[in-house]
Amino acid sequence: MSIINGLVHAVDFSTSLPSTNMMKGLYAGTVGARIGAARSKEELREVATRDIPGWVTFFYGASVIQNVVGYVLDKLTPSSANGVSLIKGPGSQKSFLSMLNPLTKYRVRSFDDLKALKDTIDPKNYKDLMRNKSTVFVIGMAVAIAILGLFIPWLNVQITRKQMLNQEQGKKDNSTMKFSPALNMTPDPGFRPTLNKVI
Amino acid sequence: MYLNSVLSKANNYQEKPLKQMGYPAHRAKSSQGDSVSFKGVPVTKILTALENNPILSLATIDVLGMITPRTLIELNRNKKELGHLNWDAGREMLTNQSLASVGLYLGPGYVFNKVGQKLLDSKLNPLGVNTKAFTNFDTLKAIELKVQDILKTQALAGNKTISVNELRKMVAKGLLEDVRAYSSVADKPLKLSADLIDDVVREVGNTFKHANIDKTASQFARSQLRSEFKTAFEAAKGTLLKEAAAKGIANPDMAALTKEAAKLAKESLKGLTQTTETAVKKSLMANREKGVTAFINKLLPKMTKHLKETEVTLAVKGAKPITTNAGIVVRDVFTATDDVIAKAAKGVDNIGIDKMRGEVDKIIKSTRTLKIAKVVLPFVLVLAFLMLLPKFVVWMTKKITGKEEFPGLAGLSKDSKGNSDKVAFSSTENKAQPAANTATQPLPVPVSTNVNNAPQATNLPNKTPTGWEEFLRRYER
Repeated sequence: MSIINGLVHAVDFSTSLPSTNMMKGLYAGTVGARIGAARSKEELREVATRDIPGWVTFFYGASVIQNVVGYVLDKLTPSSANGVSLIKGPGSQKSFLSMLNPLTKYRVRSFDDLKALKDTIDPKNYKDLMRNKSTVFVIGMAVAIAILGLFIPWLNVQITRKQMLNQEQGKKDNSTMKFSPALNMTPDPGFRPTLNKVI
Repeated sequence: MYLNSVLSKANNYQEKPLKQMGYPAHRAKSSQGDSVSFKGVPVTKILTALENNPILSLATIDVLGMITPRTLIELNRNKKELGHLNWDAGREMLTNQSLASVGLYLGPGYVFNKVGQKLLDSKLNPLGVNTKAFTNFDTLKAIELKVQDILKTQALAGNKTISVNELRKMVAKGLLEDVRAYSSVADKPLKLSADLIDDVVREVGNTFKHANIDKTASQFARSQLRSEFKTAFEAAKGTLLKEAAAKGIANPDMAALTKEAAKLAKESLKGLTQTTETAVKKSLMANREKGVTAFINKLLPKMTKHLKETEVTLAVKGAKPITTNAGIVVRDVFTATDDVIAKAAKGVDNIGIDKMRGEVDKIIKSTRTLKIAKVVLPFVLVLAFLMLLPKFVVWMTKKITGKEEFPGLAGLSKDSKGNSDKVAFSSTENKAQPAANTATQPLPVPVSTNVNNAPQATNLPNKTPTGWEEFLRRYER
């Protein structure tokens, strides 16, 4: 009962738009069905290459990239040394590795967060934070879009192309050898005893 | 027509008190001046909207990163070899991605709001729980604990009955007092100020009339149908008098006749009363939502300024702490006061504490069950749709092209042009054939007298024998 309860809690939503958790489950189901419906091993490999990393990038890519770029940018911006940091977390110790984990409590502050801080912090610091936040947000989205839309499909097309061309090449090579079976067999130790025996 | 006129009257009836309470006519505008704009485009505003709506940002990534570029890449795939655009691959990708996205974003909401709503409102909701104002399970638990705790305290203080509106105010106050904001600027968790709590509690107290939607709707429907009732009553009375005259009764019992006529009139108007009531209820509910939203929009900037945070934690004793947007917490307070307490009280002003505890329990239990049904149903239905989609795409390609193969390979391989069998037989080593094929047609392992070489002989099926090898094998036997 507690498992069912947990599942229902996970997909809980109360508006006309589903919760992100529900979407994760639904999209995972779609990916599974696509893998199941693959018609050849090439398609199977393409779907697996595209949709499994695609799932991760779709749901976590933008925020993880945002965190990582935000961490770097925060280190590079000198004014944030005395003021408020762009990174928010439960303690003061934040490491680069913790920013790579999408489930971590360390993350780049949200826009609303920064707006709430506006009256309490130094205006220059606020301006820097706002600019950095806008930059990292746009970079996060752009990189996620590039990975999903350009890199993964390009990789798929290239791998399949190369494999198929190699295969065709292999066929051509073999067909030239058709008339000299002995040549074809010599490197194969499996046939040697039979041959020896016969000869 | 009749219903329309009733509804417009109901709207006017409701709008007047809303205006008197000082609801702003439009949404409160967010503070200007802190947004970055680029050539007149408010960049920060757009980015904030994207960040605050995870679904919106996912949809943006989906359209810009999955549907459009992937379709274009598939369309241009092996263009050189084919001599034209790869329509099959492009169509497959577009159908797969776009239908999956539509199902993913709009499917659950559609099922939740249309199918689920209809199903629940038809039969499964005898208590009339407001299935639209569902909050999440943890908040529901927190509300239950808070209400029961307050009722218990009142019972221990020796009270037998309690004013429903007072209870609503107490619950609102109790919930808001449990709100904490863990601001990174302040060292300690911040609480809501007494002024802000008072604002909400006053609002809750003022809207008691609008919380009692069932009662207000039935009263209003009855008042609107008074003239219709009079006409129906007169008609029924006339019919009854005629019947009495026909039977030869000179002096019929007028009191009994009036009673009978009233009963008949009520019966004939039953359908109309119900329709009117439902329609008025719907309209009142929409108006209430509007009022609450307007109030929250007005309150939220003040709250954020005070707490220095937009996210707050509702930590009711005994329940799991819920961290969410401050606006959602205020909305949940209205859910607790209107959809739980006012609903449980069923329109009375004072109620016995013991009875109230039972009623609240019933409402919460019913809400939880209905909510599970309403949340699980969309998940199952949409998942089924999304999982059938790839099969549908394969079927569609087969229907259009007549071939059941992956269009991404078109132009690259001879196999994909339909002469795979010829290629396989003519080649010396058919690498193109998957390993599974050779497994289904195992070649006879040559009988070898040399035991040491036996394991190597099992490699044979991978190397397809030529005619020469076959000859050798036969010769051996």
